[in-house]
Amino acid sequence: MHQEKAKVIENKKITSHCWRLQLSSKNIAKDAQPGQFLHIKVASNNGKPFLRRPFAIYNVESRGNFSILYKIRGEATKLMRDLKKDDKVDIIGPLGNGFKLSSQAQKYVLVAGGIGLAPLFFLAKKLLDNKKEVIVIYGAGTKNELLCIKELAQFKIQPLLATDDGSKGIKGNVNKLLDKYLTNNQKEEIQVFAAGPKVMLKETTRICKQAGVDLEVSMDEIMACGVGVCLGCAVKTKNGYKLACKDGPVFKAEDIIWE
Amino acid sequence: MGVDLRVKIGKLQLKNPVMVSSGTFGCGQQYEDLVDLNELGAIVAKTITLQKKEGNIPPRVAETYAGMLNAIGLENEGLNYFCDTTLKYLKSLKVPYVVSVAGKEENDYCKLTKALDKLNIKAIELNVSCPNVKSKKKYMFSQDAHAIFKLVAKVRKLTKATLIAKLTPNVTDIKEIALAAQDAGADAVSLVNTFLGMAIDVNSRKPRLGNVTGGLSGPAIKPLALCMVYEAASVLKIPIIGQGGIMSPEDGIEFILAGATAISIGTANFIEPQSALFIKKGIEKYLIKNKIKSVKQLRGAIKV
Repeated sequence: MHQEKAKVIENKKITSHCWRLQLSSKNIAKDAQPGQFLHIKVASNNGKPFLRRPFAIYNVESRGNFSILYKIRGEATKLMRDLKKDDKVDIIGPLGNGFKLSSQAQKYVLVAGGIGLAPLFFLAKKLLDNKKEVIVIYGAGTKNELLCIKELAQFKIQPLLATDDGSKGIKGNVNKLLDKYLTNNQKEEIQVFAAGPKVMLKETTRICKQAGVDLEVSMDEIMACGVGVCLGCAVKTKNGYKLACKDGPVFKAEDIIWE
Repeated sequence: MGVDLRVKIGKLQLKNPVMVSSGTFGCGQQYEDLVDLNELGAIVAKTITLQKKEGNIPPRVAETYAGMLNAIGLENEGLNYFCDTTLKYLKSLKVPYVVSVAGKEENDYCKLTKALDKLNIKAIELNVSCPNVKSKKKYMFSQDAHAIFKLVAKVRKLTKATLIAKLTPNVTDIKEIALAAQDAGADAVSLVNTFLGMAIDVNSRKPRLGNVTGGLSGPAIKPLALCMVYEAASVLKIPIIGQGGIMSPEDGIEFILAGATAISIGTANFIEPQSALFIKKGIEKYLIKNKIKSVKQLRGAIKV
């Protein structure tokens, strides 16, 4: 864990609601693992926004650069849009536990909903670096909300797409695609990783359980400290409450008790 | 010119007056990569109870204007786990630490105190002011002068350790409560714990905390907390550990001017883990700039 004043390399709008922020810190870039997150101080010490905000690491590039994706949701993300090249951003990270790969799996299926693509993009890259077979299933509201399709293509990943309005890929959600994929590939040893809204993850969990396939999910919870002292980001599991910041944010889906 | 930052809380000698509050710093270990722990005045560890406690249903935290609400529910692994693991870590540090304890009834506090006394713990904070845990009575111990007197008096008989009563601000007259703690033998009081508060999501119409209500902390409560320290200081002989929304050296100095002997940093740690250290440095600078030799001279030095 480091606390760094990371320099902004680029802050770019990538869709109508999402931005990509590229920063530089050798220490953070060196230690970052897929599934881990950064706790970012957005503004002042008081007022609003007040607390830091957690963001999944989207990518680690060369020369100590790394990136996050953010969606404009409230005061903090609105302020983040104003960050300019060479500004300094106070970051604590990398934090939490990332994805754990099963060595038995022959194929890794990554299921992303919306901005949930961020941690899975980083994972896809790591898996490809290790010569693994990766399938990405990706969904969003509309065609225009799909993020980083070009970047995925650079890694020769052609994601199976779903949109709510059918403007790209199938009309419907990623779970429909996952269900079909698992049905058609029953003989293979598959491990699934998912990130996205809770309603999606709950259904992904049901589908994987039915198919007898291992699933890890990244949980997005409201956090205060990010390091396991405030015990605020509790996730209900079969082994009692666990912390998204310290025990997660990646959990075995079978352990989670969904509301 | 060197300045003297040392203060005393009961028998506990602190090399500077800036502590970190219970529940906002773990036992220090979680921050050891980022903070030079031995530079802190003291660490008040996360509150423990006799048995393991699961804590409240999520969401447990919600951001509000200049502050946050929490309803953690005193989640902790219990006394035995604390003694076997956390305590070993605290003992390895070169910084004074305070063990914070809570219970549902007097007997819980007595059992915890007895156990800690056997282990030669030097300072115990009685958390009698958590707004998120139901005690057997309808109110918190520190909402009733008679109840807090009885409790502190009982615990006092069980240990010679420095005994600190952490009080709730949710009372009509803080002076009455603080005096009761002092009269019963407390060595110091911590003022204040969080203010009871709530927030509602207007879209779902649900409370933003699973527990519905929670404790408000952060700069939003600072003027309220400061006023309570000022009022309590007007009647108390024992030291006050002032806390409530301290974010800057100036905030801390205000509490000392109002009568606090030491100050404690809570919510600020979440945003800036090194808050206590830079606040300490800022206080030191202030003393040098104003040619004040000792931080003790600043205590209660408000000019009314």
